Amino acid sequence: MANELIVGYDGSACAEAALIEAAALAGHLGCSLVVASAAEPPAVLAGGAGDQRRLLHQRGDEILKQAGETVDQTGVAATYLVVDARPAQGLLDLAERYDARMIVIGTYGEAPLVGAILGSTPHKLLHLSTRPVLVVPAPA
Amino acid sequence: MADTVAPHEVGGKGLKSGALGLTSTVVIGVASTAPGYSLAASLGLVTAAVGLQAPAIMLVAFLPMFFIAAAYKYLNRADPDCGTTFTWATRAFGPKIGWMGGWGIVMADLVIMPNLAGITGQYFFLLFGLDNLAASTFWVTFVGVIFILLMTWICVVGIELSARTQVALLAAEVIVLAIFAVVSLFRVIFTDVPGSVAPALEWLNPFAIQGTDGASALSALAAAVLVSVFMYWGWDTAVTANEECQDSTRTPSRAAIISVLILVANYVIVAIAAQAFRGADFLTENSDDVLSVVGQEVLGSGFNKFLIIAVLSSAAASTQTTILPAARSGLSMAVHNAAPSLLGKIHPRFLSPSVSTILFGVVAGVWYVVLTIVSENVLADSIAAVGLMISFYYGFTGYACVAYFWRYILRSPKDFVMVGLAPFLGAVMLTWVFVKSLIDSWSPEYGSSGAILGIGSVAAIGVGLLGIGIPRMLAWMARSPGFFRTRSDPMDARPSPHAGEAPPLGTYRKGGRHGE
Repeated sequence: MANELIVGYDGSACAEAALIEAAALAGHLGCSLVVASAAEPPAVLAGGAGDQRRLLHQRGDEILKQAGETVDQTGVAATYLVVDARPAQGLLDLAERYDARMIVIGTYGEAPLVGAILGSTPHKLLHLSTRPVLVVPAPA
Repeated sequence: MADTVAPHEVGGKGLKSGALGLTSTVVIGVASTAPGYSLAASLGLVTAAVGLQAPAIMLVAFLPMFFIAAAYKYLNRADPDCGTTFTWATRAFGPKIGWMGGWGIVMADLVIMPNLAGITGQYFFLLFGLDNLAASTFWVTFVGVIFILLMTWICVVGIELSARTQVALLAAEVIVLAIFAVVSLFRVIFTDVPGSVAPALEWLNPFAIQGTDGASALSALAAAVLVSVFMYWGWDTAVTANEECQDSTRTPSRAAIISVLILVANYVIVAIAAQAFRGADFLTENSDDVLSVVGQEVLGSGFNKFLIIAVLSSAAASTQTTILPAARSGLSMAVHNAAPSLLGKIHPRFLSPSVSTILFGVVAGVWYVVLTIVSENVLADSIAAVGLMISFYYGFTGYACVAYFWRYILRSPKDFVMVGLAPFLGAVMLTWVFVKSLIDSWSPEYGSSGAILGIGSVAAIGVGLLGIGIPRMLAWMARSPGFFRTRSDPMDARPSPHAGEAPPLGTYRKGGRHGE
């Protein structure tokens, strides 16, 4: 019953700030964390993408290991997920699935250029999410 | 308590964004073949070989592609992720042949790039009515090279059209082609169009094929199928994307059948409509920009712009579906140690195989410029040469399917036909087209294309680029023998074509599993 905070994490400094904030909040609220690293799977249109997908999953695992080190120090319970989707859609689906209390995300991530062209992930989340979204700015 | 040991749920179930419905799967199948661009690039070359029998060729050329699609389907089940001839041929025949299969794919993608760029350059100028620039080799090449670099950049950054945009673009493309066909046929049948030819049922009869310019009927057939194989190239993607379908028992086969019907009908009807309007020779003479020229006469210059835009968008989409698989094949080969590991690098921000994408784009640009200088007819040469490459690696895939599933073929009549006979027949047909075209095009007088080193340029490009692969492979073997200790999957470890997956490539090594 709305006991999870979903954290979007891509290994950037901004995501790290969001993760620390989320872990602190989770401690206060008695919630647990679901830390997700989402990457869009390579297009099926052209075929032959299997090895690329596998490398993306490996990369996701490594990023989440890094997140695990941060969360470990706080003692908050957390689940880690690699999600095969564009970040915004992936986080929304995940929040739906867990019936999450809120989504926590950094202001910008690893791919600011893609964000500039296609619209940034926090921007989309703020518009599309039916639950609270906490956007954490980059450390000064 | 901290829960870091919780298993990382990779590709969490229920979140698989790749789930495809019937419409998307059909769209993928049709869009991957880029019908507008394929017709623009090759219709005039088919009529050059077989005259008014072009519609019959559209029907005949489909057969080998249909048969090879069966091979793709079953091999993709055994090794669902990679989906390239490189891994399949390695599993079936061992590392050397597998390596050459991967090389064949990348070379096919490379050879077609000048054509995509050339058509784009020409139609770009035609769109703005700059017909004299469209006829200038320099300016067409200039725009073409910029186009290649731009598309490479787009593939690196990973900007993709959403599925909905693709559906809209494809629908527009097919509708414009349909309007063209209907208007053309209407005017031919009900009004008096000078130079038109009344459509005849005989046009669909493959046995009425005769060679033009004294070529034998078989040579003409091989040359025309070589070109048309290119038109259907990419349709197999719909079959391999099947695993991602929502209802994976019925959607895939229905989608494959629907996309086939759309494609074949599209090609046959547009071919009939185009050649009825002004005759086959008119198409042959204007083979460089056949759709824009016939479109102008049929639709008038205003509405013709839609036809030009359809060809342009189709060429752009086709470029993306050429660069992506080439880069992924490079990535795949690098991951399995069959190519420099740098090619297996995933860009940290864009998450794409950036090094192999950029390398491919740059080589394609250079190759385009070189071909423009060397060849007398870049567009015709690149289509015929890519036909050779496709016949080569599709043939490989067909044989690989039969060899890999050898012990399952006799288990049921259905498996015998679908897993054994069909891929084998497809492979034999493509081998015949490959060998026959190679022999015919060896002569420097072949087609309109001139000669390189005294050999017809199509054969020179085809044999040259495939042949370079052998020393490249030997050099790589000497430097990094790791991959070449892989052995083909042992017979008893091969999954059935209907269930189970093969263990990862590289599990079985020469000298036992611990050979490495």
